Amino acid sequence: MRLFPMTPVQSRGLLVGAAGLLCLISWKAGYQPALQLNQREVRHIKELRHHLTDVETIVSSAGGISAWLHLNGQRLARFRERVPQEAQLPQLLNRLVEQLKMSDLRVRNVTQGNLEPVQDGGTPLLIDGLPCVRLPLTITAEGRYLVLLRMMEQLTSESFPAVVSLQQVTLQRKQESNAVLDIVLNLSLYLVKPPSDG
Amino acid sequence: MFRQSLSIGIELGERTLRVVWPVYQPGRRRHWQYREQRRNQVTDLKAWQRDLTQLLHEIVSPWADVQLFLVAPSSYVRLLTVQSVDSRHAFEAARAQLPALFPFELERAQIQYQLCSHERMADHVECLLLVAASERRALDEYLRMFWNAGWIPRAVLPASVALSQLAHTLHLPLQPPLLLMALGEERTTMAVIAHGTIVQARDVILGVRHLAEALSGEITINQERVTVSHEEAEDLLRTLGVSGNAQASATPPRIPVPTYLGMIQPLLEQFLSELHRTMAITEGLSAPQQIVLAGEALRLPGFEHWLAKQTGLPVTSLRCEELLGPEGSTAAIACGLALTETSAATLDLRPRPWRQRAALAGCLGALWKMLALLMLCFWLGSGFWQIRHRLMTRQLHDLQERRSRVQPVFDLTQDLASYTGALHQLASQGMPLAWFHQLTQGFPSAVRLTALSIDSQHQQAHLLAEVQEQEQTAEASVSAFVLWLTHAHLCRQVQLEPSHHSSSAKSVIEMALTCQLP
Repeated sequence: MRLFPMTPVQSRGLLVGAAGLLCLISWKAGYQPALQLNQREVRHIKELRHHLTDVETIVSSAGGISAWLHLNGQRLARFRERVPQEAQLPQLLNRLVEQLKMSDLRVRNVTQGNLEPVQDGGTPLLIDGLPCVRLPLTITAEGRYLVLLRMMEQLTSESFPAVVSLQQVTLQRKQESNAVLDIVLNLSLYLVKPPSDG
Repeated sequence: MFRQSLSIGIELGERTLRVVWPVYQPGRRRHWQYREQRRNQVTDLKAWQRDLTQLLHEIVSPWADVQLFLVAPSSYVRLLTVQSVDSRHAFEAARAQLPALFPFELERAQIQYQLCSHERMADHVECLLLVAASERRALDEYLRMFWNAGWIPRAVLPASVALSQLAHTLHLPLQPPLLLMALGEERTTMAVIAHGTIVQARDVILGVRHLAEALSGEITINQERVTVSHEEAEDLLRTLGVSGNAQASATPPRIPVPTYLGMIQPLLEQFLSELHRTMAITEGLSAPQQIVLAGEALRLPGFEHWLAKQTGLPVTSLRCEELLGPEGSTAAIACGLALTETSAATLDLRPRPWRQRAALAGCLGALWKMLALLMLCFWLGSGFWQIRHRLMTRQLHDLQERRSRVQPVFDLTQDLASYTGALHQLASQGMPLAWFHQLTQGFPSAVRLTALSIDSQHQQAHLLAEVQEQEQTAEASVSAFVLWLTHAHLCRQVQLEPSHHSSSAKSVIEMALTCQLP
């Protein structure tokens, strides 16, 4: 190739530069993006196929899509019941007190603190898009250790209409001779706070 | 762009540019093309470059890889027999003989050697060397002209090498020894060839231009001043030749024949003298038995006859008609250059810097072609990935359709996962109830817990207990209790506080410990 009035080294050097530049552009703007797009698509197809196969297997083993949706819809409803809305707090506390009364523990006092937001790694924990709050409760009671355990099992079981976590437990033997304990329980009840109007 | 390179032979005259190049036909059959261009402005270098560029552009594409074979401005070739300790030192031995052989200083000469043969004797090697030389400065200027015009000369060869190549190609009988002579525009190449090899060759600065110049200008004929232009002088030469026979001409010449012959006679005598000098230099080697004429001499009427008469030797002609047609019959040197194979151009007279520049330009040429090829590969690759992308888009579309059918399942699964995660997070914020169950299982009978305080936030437990002496001492039971707490994974980093005997019973130890929850 001859470009006039350049010497062969100049013209060929220019061509090398231009070809190198075009090569780089072809790589950066043509080949590499096309390759990366393909790699992403291959991964996506692989993942999608894998998920679909899994889901279709699960669905067919459950007796079809309707049956699976019905079954798991119920499960989701149970989950939702376990984190009630703030408005349901009075009923929840009634249920808690009833539960305590039904046990063999002798409840002396139940006090509640203020609602505080639950944090998850520094950010508010959201459930179904709603912020989750905690209600601290302090229960003072007396009773035997196994009775206390049973009562705590009932509170933390799925049949109780809220998630309860034990924050602090203090047990003190009441008298030297018997096995009755003074019990101070610090619990947390979890609720979701509905969006405030306006 | 990626085709085989094209070898072009160029003979650069002051008034004429001659090029010969091969054209390949189907079946790799090769035939030769010839183009001649007359020049108008003879002094301007840029005009020369323009003429050359115009001529070459007409015959080759700007993208073609062209190898130009050029004839050296003036050259000398000599066959030498040298003796040296080995063939590697033959060139040094030959160099010692050169000052007596060439008409210019060695320091200003570009010299090239070709080892023709070597024979080992008792204590030395006898080498037959072909030595070519040319003036370096003239070569540099010549090559620079081409280089600045954008062309890369592949080789610069002595004119005699081109003539010899042509003689070989046209199967000219090279036995007995002969004098091959090509009369050009500015110079005449005379080469003595014996046994198919150049023995002695030289370029004499005497050509058709000099004859024309001798005739042109103002002359007085019968007290009348006649001005003859260069073109008219050239026409006179073509018409009258060296014999002055005007019969072929339709119109009588402006200069009387005796005057004409008188004007060119000194140059013809000089020419004869140079011819005899060339033939005399061959010394002990066989003297030429015939003369073969080529080049512009073939266009001068009566030149063959005149030469035969003057030398007493038979004179024949070497025409390129067979290769180039009637037009190129006298372009012997350009034709010989084009016929020279790249590998055979061993007497290439290019100085080292020009070879290096040519090599660099060659590398750059190869590099840009590689880059262009690479770029092409990238785009082909891109095209391939685009086609694949279309195929995969179809696959993806099918899968998306399948997915849309089970989308509610995905949504519900996601909701369930979100709830499960959140509930697990909430449950993990408190104390696991399993810990209390584990504490009741396998609790040592010697230990009686009096107080237990657990703080899930700080992951800390504080125990107060009474330890009785049973099967082992109370102190041993304390240690066993601590070990049990650790092994049962109820506590870690247990810190035992100082224990003391109970005030009510001496066999009972009251102990307290703090530990981290697992």
